[in-house]
Amino acid sequence: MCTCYFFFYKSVCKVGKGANTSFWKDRWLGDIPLCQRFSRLFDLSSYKSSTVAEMFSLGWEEGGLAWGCRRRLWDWEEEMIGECCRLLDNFVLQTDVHDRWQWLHDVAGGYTVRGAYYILTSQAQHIRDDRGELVWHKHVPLNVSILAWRLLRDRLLTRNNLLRRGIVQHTATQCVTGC
Amino acid sequence: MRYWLGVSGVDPYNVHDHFLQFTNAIGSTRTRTSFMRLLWLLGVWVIWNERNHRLFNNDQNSMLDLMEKVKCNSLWWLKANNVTFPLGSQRWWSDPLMCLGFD
Repeated sequence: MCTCYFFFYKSVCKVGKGANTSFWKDRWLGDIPLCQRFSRLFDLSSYKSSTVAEMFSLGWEEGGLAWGCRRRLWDWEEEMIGECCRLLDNFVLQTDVHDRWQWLHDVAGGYTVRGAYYILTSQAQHIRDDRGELVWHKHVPLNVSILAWRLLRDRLLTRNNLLRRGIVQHTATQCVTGC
Repeated sequence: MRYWLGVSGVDPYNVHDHFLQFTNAIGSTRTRTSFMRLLWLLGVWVIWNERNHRLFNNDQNSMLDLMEKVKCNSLWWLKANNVTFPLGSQRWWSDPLMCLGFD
């Protein structure tokens, strides 16, 4: 599984023979990893770190060994397996193709450092995060730093923010001094 | 606060820019920006508390009171962390940069 979130959320696994792809933890079938989509099944599974190929050879049809669990399943958990099986039905392993990553921002050209750099620098958010680091100061009490951290992210409970969250009404939006 | 430090500057509208500009107002060395970050954080805290005080207690302190809080707290915070004052802290109220040996 890829531990870099930036890369993880911008790429998917294209599974060929399935030997290098984690069945539960990689994003290869659907938009999120199966361990999130079927978190209950993942919790119960005896094969948490198995690859797609291993799960396939165990047998992932309904009643297959791949679903080996640490206890007997409830009916609704069996139904989840059914749902997962229907997803897997549409998937065919290609034993002559290697697994590979697909970079979602440029499916044709593939991942490039230049492309990733462009994505990172074109998001002002990341520059701001850098400045946010400066609020932590060894001589300043933590509550003061947290206040500044919230200020820089516009997360303080100012009237504008209370209004946006629907906590106060428009009629109460005069400024402090009543102007 | 700038008057206390003996520096001048224009307030940027954007709070991020304000933070950056203020922290570099007396130079960009690490000790200097560190001290200015402390003051900015303290200033923000004092202003926010005053805002709450005015809003919820219907009472208000003067600018001078607020400045006094900044001066007291900054000295306390630095002393609490054993920061050394090469020239003593007697003149903190009039010339903090000198006390820190910045000038």
